[in-house]
Amino acid sequence: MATVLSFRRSEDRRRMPQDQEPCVFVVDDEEDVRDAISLLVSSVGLNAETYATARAFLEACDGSRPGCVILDVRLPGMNGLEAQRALRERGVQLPIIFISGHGDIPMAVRAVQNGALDFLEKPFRDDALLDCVNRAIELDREARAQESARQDIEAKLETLTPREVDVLERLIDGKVNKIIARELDVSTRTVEIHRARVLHKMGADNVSQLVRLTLSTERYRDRLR
Amino acid sequence: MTETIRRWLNRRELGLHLLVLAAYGAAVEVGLQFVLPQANVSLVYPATGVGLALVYLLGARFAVTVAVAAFAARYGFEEGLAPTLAVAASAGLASAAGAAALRRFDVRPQLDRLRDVVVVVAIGALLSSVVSSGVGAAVMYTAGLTEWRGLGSLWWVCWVAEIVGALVTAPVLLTWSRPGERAWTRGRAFELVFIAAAVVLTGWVVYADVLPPGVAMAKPLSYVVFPIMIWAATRCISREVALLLFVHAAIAVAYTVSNQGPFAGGSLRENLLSLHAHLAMLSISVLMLQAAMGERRNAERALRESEAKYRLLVENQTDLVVKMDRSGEILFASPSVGELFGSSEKELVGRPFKALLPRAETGASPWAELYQPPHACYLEHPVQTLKGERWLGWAAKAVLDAGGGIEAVVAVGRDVTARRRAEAESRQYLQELAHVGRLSAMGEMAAGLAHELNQPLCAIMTFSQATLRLLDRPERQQELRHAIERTAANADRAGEIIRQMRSFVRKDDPAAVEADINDMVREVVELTAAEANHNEIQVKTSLAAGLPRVSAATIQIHQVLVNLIRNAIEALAGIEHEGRRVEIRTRRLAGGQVEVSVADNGPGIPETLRQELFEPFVSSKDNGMGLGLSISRSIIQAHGGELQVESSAGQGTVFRFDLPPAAGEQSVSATS
Repeated sequence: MATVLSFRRSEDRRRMPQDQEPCVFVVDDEEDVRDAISLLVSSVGLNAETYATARAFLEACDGSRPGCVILDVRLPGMNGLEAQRALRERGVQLPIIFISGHGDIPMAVRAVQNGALDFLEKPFRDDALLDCVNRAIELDREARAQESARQDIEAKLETLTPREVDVLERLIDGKVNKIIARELDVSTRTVEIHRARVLHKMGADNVSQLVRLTLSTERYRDRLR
Repeated sequence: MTETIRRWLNRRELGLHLLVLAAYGAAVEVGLQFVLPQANVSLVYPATGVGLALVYLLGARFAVTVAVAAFAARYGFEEGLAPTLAVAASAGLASAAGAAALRRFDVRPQLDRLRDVVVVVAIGALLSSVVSSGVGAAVMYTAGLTEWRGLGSLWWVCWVAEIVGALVTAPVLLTWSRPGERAWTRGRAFELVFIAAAVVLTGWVVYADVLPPGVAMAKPLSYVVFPIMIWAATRCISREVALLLFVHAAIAVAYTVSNQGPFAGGSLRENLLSLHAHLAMLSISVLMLQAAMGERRNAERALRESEAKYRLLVENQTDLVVKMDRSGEILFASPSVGELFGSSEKELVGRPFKALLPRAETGASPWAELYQPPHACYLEHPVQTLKGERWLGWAAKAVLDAGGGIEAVVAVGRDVTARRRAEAESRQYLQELAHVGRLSAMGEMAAGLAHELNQPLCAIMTFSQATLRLLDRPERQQELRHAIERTAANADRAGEIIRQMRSFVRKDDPAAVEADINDMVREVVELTAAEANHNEIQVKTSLAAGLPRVSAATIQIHQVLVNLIRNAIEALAGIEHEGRRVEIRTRRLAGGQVEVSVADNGPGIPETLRQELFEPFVSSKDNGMGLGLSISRSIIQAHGGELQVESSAGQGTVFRFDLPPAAGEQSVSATS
């Protein structure tokens, strides 16, 4: 309870782009199992949405809402593993917790290899499920926070002029102002002005912070190697 | 070879002809001893009777021999050639005509039937004597040996002499031509000798004028012979009676001719005519009486033989034969019944048949069938006998009286213990095999059922844990109530699955009970639902309403259905197409049976496999024992039905079986 409360009151909400409550999506063909999980989840103050089939869930979910998925492996029509693949193909990164009435080891291994958070055998203990759910929501939250920060930096990168980008890239390479000035065939002073503007635009206090921010983006991730 | 036989035959034939020649000649010679001098007419003439009997016994061709004999015997008398020839021809014709008549009526020479005596007297002897005497009289007239005026009386005398001669001689020849059928005992022989002596003695006493005139009662005394002859007729066989009559007649004629005895006193002609009338009456009466007695003896013997034959049949068989009256009281019981129950036939007669049935047997219902055509019934029951407990099978048939009511009942019983035991053993064997089959099927279904069981367990656990967490949240009372209700419902469902599993693998209860086939189908569909869901196969049921209940060992029918449905699911599991489904139908057949069909739209069963589908240890599956269908067919057959398969490549497979309706089930029956 304490963890959840602290989670709900955390200041991270400010940083969520959609600013939404996390939701637990429950997909199981057995109505009583759906209802029971939904009730259990609601007992710790989380929202839950239930779906009887994988298709119904895929139709309703676009990945924009934070939370996690509790997915039954055996489902009529499209089964749980197929649904997992479909979500990933759409780029929905919601953490998935599989549940199954079968202690089907190979299937569990495949699910986890494909990125499932955990695999619970029915019937499961409430602590086990709720731990998983909390872990999943936390993961999702972090992933979404990171994603949000990355998008922030990239947006700032877009505001740089071409000459400022030139300076930034050479700073990442660890070159000093004098070298940069020579390479760009400008004065050292000009480089210093550009550097100050880049630091300002990117919201960095110093060059090392600037490099760290820049290297977290898609565009400059390769430079790490 | 044939030549010798023919020669022998010829010699035998020749001998017979000579015999006839001699016999007839002798008879004519006897007759000539009694010729009335003035009229040239024989008063005692046995020749016609001899001719009749011999021609009948030996064949028509001997009529010629008779004619030859007649000619030879008469030739040399004063009549001349032509009249002698005519008389001889008439003798042959008379014997031939009489014999033909006897042959026409198929007379038995034994003369032991009344009709034979009547035919011999009224047709054979009459015809022969009329022809012979008529021709004789006519010849004498044409030859001028007699006047027209006396012709009538001449013919009359001739005829009487000939017919009485025939009545006395012909029966002797006829009866002695066949072997006598007589069981000789000392008493019988003594009796016969006594009778013969009595006949001779009375003949002598009556006709030889032995008694003094004061004591003699003249003509009525001649009737003394009647009681003796009646005695003979009732006690002796025909040939003996015929011979006694002949002996008596010979004595009477001999004394009367010499003018002695009750018929003496007049002219020879008158005396002999009176005697002839007396002898004719005596012969005809006694011959008819002995024939009537002979018929009775024959009938008695036939009855005795027939009774002995059937008694032999009944008493010497191992089957139990009981005859009872309509109230069930035993009228007859074969010795085998007595042996089995340790009591004699005498003790059994008069006791109720029910005493032979087990005590619990009321005896009322199984016999009801006897009151309706075809008035027969069959029942089997165990009963305590000297040989221990045995199963008896009784086939009973009612004997109806003229009014169509039951007069008696004949029941034939047989010890069917061995058969019942074999049946029980085979039932036991099938039960055990079926149980193994169910255990094996349950093993294969265990994974699916565990999953099926996990669903309600998961719901129960999750609901109750959520409930614990929400117990102190009064605002969520509504949800809590729902959670607890669903917890109970799921516990119930889990219990139901367990109950079905246990019921399916339990060993007992092979007893047939009345059951609704649709209920059984629904239960099995539930039992196999896990497997169908697992393979994502739709199971459809289309169950007819108003089906008669069937008499079935429900667990075994469950097993057959489980087997068929799982086979169908497996047939579909290997293929990928939309709309894979299993359809189970129930319906009522025209014959009143209930049919269940399990159809899949899978690939069908290859022709080669279909041939041996029901053979044990034939399986298309890698891990199958191949016993399922073999056991299923045995189960259905044990229920009185048949399990069949129809399949064509690409069109799917249909298994169907039928079950007879429970006894007493009518066409319109309430179903639950």
